[in-house]
Amino acid sequence: MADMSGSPGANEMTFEQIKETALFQMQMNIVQTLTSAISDKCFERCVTKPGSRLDSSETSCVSRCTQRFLEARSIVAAAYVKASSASREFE
Amino acid sequence: MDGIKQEEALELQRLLQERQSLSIFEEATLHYTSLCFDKCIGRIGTKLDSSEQTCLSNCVERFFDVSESVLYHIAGSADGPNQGQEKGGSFF
Repeated sequence: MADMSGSPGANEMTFEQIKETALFQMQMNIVQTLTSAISDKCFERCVTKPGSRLDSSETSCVSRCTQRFLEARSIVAAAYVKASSASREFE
Repeated sequence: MDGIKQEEALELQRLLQERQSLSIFEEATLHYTSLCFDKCIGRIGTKLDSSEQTCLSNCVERFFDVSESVLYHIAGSADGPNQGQEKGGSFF
């Protein structure tokens, strides 16, 4: 088999494809995890008595709830970084 | 597959490790957000007011304090069979 290692071609493209796929998968996982967490919370908060469809107050609540959750997540993430770096001994 | 070069394999491994750390951070952040959302946000409005924002920051810090405290108490209970008995049962 010809040695392809020196030339840009099959091996590098294949690796790049693997990397792209892996990165895409990771992005999808983040979206999935986030969607799941927010759905849980906003279902809990916005849908008190499940009816045959979401009414307008429920859909409005879900919209606001999603925004507020994302804003809360930013604040929490910043506080988490700060609190976990504060607890490290070597600083 | 015609063999990934070692550098490529190492790069992929580094990427996955990085992603794993991010993932742990992401999971923890979501967990705290979920907990603190309930403690700090009553009515869901059109924005977070300053008391809600402060509460969220405090919430994370207090959670860390609680974890530390819990660890301290667990460590106390695991000091040995006698101490374990006095504190109401051995750890293991």
